[in-house]
Amino acid sequence: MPSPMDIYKLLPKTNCKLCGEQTCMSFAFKLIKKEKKLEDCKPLFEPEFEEQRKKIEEMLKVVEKATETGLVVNEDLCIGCGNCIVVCPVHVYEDPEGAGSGFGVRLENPILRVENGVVRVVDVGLCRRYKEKTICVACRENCPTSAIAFLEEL
Amino acid sequence: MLRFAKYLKKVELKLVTYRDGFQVSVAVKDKFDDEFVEKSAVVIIHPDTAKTFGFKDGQIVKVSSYERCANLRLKISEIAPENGALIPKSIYSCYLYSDRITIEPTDGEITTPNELLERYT
Amino acid sequence: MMWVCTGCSCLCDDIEIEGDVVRHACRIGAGLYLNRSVARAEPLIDGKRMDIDSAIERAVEILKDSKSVAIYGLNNSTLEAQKIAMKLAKKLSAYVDNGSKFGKLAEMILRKEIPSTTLENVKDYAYVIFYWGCDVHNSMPRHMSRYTYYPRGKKRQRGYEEDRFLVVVDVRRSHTAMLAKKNAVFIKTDDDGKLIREFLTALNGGIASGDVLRVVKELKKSDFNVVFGGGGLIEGLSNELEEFVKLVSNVGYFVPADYRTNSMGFFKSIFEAGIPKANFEDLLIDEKVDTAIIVGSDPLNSMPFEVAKRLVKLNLIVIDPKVSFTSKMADVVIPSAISGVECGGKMLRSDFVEVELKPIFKSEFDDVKVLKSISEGL
Repeated sequence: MPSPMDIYKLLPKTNCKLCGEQTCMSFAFKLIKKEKKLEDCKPLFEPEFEEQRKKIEEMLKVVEKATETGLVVNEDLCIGCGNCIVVCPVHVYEDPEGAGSGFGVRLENPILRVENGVVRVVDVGLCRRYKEKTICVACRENCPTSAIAFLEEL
Repeated sequence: MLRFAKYLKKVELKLVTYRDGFQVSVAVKDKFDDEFVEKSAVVIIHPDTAKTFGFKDGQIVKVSSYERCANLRLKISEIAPENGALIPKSIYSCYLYSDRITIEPTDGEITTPNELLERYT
Repeated sequence: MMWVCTGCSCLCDDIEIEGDVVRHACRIGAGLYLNRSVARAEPLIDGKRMDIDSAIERAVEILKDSKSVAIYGLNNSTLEAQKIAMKLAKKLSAYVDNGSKFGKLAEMILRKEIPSTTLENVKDYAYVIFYWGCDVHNSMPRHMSRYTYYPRGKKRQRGYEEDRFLVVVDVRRSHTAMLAKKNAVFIKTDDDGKLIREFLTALNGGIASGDVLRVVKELKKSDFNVVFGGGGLIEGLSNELEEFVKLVSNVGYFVPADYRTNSMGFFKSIFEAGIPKANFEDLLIDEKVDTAIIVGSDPLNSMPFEVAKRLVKLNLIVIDPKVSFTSKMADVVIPSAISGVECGGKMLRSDFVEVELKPIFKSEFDDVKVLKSISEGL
């Protein structure tokens, strides 16, 4: 997962304000939070910054994978323990006999499900962060291998 | 001067082994695959230890115990004990098995399981 | 299709398989199923490809010429296969070992000398949950989410943050230890015996460290608390077994956290057969055996070099579904089936609960057939 600092290092660092931000650093922050688009940085599309732009685009691929709730899953770091599935308050409420009781989640479209040994995002529509705009971090908190992250915490 | 710097980096640590779930999943698949080497030929040290002795995450190190040695990839993580080195349980940890091991930088390549197997006969 | 996962001793029975999609199994279990056809063993005699009948015949010849045999492994074999292995052991007067250090405690559980319980009971009733010397997040990934700390149970409806108290004891900050957050404590120790004595002192109203006193206070809130002990604890318990048993009877229950799939089945099998558990490593050091039958195990991937070096000098008969470091060194390799994937039978979960396997495929040869053929050949 790229940090705002990683992105900043590759920006023109001129604080030209063309993107509407006061500094390149704040642009980097908003880029990761998906509040700004790379195209907003006009100078970056000049030929002299092409290499750097490509690097940033590569970094942002992870961010692109982030769901509407800011949830990012890195499957390579997931061991498939299912802690996130069982602790999810929505799963517990909607599927008390399944996920709430420790079994594989029985909802047809759960928020998360373990498939082929790693956690996959199925439907964030049910997530409290999406529906109620609650800042819930239960899934991330109980993942000791950092396979789950939230954009705003990066 | 360079040799002296290298000498300073040689460090003796207590060996702790552990069952690593990611390593187990590739061992169950195929022990002669590159993935097995990637997950098994690893020695993990605590960030404080790394800082004290100047080790970098991802560098290849020579790990020795008694007259035996193997080249492993060094990783830095808080899951390692502060005063020890952590190696996932596999033929690598078995080959190096002892109470204490020494770690030092090397230019060599990572030892393969087949190279280790030759030393058993 | 429902599947019982044989990736570790959790034997999770809620796995769904649809073609090449495995749902709910962890990385280890899903991999066991999905990679079943990779690196399969072939029948070999002295490294040369043979048919399986010739390999079995050669194994019989070797056994007939042997003075002292050891049977090692069997953790991935079903209870049915273990039973046949015990008969074979009696026929050969062979030593038997599975390489697990849980033998003494398992026998105490079977003799009811130490209180134990089931994982279902833990889920429904347990308040304080100890993980002592075990990093279950790695060794048995679903242990905590499926059975212990995280799920809601009958008397534990309010979830892990209120209805459970987690205690992790280890020499290092393992992934499991990182999960000890709210309503939880991680105790780092290099000396299990000392910590056990400290707990006993605190339970009797004596002086102890802050963390220990806090745990003891929590222990008194419930009459159902459980200690899961792993390899780290067992190795640390050189002379303190008696004190540990005393601590467990004060706390509540003990359940082994031995990840080896059917290790508890092995202990029950030898217990019922009346065969004492041997220590294979000691046998190798003392040069007490000339032939070993290795069943579904790869000691070269688990035994110290100095011991394993002696192993490769023996007549080695390896029965395994997969190619292993040990099979590379074997005189005879006999391929077998992956228990639970390609052959059925029963196994014991880490808490001694019997589980019926649900194989998805069928195999011509499995441990039962191979061991039977060898036994008949003798």
